[in-house]
Amino acid sequence: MSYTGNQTIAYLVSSVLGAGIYSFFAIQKFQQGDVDVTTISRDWGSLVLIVIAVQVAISIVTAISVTIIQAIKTREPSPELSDERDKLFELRAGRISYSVFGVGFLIAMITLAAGLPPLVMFNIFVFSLYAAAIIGYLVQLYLYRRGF
Amino acid sequence: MGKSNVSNNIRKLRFNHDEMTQQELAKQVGVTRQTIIAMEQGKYSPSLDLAFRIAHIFAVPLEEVFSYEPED
Repeated sequence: MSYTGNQTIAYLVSSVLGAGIYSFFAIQKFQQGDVDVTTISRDWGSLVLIVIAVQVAISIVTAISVTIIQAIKTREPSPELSDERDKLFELRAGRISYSVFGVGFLIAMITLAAGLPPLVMFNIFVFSLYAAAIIGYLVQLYLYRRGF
Repeated sequence: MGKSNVSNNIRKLRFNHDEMTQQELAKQVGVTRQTIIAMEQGKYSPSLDLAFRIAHIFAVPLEEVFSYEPED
């Protein structure tokens, strides 16, 4: 697989880890019962920001690791730019990613309209973001494996 | 999206140009080797810009590199 294909795996892994970390702390919060499900507290906002920061750090580390491993394996410097085929794959994956997020957003709004607590909407919103990213990367990976 | 209707002679032209490697051609036209592989396998139709760049590298007209086969 190409350098960009391997980078996609790295970003996929970091997204899955990000979703995992968020789920871990979210479940912990619910189990501790120190959350008021009728409001979205400062804690939840902070949790999302911390998870995003951790995920960015993981993405940087995995991207650097992939570059080093690829350079050792192929003994070639990594390409600086993605070519037109890479961009086409990104666009196709992006389109599916936006659709997934759109569905998640719609479900989140339905929960609000149905009178469910805002925290439910908030969590559906966050998970749809992760689902959109993960599905987008999976589609990109599929396109790289297929080759066209 | 399966096989493209656009076929090409890139492999033959590479062979006739001192057996130029896919990597060498990719570097000269500014794409990845995987893109050259996909084109040679007929799985990817390049942009007009890339098609002209490939033709320019081989110093042949565009129609000597690419040809269009309409569906029946």
